[in-house]
Amino acid sequence: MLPLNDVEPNRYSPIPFMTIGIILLNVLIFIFGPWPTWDNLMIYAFTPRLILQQKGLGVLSSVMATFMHGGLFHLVGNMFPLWVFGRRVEDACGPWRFFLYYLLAGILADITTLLVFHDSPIPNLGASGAIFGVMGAYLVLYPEGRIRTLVLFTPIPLWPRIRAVWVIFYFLGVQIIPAIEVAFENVDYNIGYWAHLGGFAASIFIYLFLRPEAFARYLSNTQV
Amino acid sequence: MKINPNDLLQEAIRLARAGRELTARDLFRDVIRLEPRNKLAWLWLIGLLDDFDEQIGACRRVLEIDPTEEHVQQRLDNLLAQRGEQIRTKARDLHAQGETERSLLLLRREVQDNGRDPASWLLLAELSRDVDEKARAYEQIVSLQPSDLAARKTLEKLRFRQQNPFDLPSLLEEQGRIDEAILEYQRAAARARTSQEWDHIYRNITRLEDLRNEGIVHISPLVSIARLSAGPPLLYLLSLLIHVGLNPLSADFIFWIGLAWSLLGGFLLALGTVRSRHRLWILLGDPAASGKPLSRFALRTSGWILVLLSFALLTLDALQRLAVFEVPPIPNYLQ
Repeated sequence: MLPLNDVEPNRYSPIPFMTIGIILLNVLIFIFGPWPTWDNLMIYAFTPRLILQQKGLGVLSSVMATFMHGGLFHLVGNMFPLWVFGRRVEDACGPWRFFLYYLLAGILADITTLLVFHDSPIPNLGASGAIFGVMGAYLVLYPEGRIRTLVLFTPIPLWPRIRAVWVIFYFLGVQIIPAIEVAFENVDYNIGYWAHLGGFAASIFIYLFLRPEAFARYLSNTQV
Repeated sequence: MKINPNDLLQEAIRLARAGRELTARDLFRDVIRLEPRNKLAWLWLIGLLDDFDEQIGACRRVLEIDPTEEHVQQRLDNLLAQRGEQIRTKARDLHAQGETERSLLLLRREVQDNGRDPASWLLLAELSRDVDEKARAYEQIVSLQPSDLAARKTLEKLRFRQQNPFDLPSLLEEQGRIDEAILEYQRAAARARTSQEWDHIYRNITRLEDLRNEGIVHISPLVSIARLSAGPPLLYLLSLLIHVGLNPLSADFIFWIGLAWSLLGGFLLALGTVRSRHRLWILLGDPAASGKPLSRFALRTSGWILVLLSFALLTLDALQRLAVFEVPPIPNYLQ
């Protein structure tokens, strides 16, 4: 399943400048930024063991890693959901508060990774933790939203409008079992399942970043 | 037979002295018809008239004939004060009964006739919803009572609102007074100078009507300020936790100063974002106490600077660490 587009319009601001800006930044860093060699990964990516030893860039590596990707598929796979879910979350927050929330989700994702894999020497990179935070916020704010989604399970590809809650639960659901496996059965991993879950948990803080009117609408049980 | 006005006057005075006031009054009126500038007849008539307006008119006539009549001037002042009090009481009653337009009509007539009574101007300013009329009323109050500092301040606020017609409705919206805010936007629409202004007003009226129709709850600006203030320090605290390897006890003292900066920065950012009446704005030279756009921008900028400074502390420390960082070798199992 690949989310393609949120069909609902924005309420407050027609153009999601910050979402577009974050996507552009990710693309520019992918093209012109440090190549993911071992040395660069140790410096710029988020490596739990180095963080706990207070070596390297510390929190700066956490932020840098949020904007770096290991390959084109990784980049595209992250930027699509960011565009789909970020547009209206940004609309509810305003661009700069959305950016702060995005960083917060990325950092909470890394803290979760640290708590689960505190001695791991494996570098983590990618925006997926922060994007799961954005998806969680979308679920909190627009539980009735509908997402145009490309479904590849069927012989012929379909792109129906699916309730956002099902799309997000699908993405969340496919994290849980592998997350338990890698945490408790010592299975090797190359996807940050726990970072995704941690990022998703950041959605409980979305209330601190909403525009006053969006917050009032949320409390009034109407469309944010 | 030709009537001698002087004889008529003497007869009227005699009748008045004899207590036959109604007949005397008619005779004095006859005298005045014959001799409109007969001061003595007018003076007698003042004492014989019942109606406030007629008495006031008679006093004014005497003063027109002889402006040096101090007693008449005093009497006129007393009469005007009494009539003003009566009209104000009636206007308040009408306003209390919901007939504000009628009460305003009374007051407007009163201040047009007697513009020297600050109390009537004050009540007119209080009851009127029109910012221009309020400002005009306060201009009169200030010119009548130049030492009234409170009136001067109110006049400054009103002038600010005249120049910034959207200030009042947005303030009312903040206070949850949606109906009044819509009414103010409608008044602003009547004075809109450009099509952009009109568009802005139309959009806001539509938005507020949506809020009202959808039953959106009102959130106090203080709650919004408290809520929005928390974001940047929370982000800083979590960043600090990562930076010190989840061991906050090992954090240098300077990082806790950074937390204080991010707290203050978050507060200033929220204060500059959420519209609310605040003393701080008066200190920054805004008489309306709701924050001029430039002051709000300055406050938001200061907030951002403080927040960025706090993160700059972490960045500087990260770069210092990088200078002594040695890249570990690739573990065997990853090769």
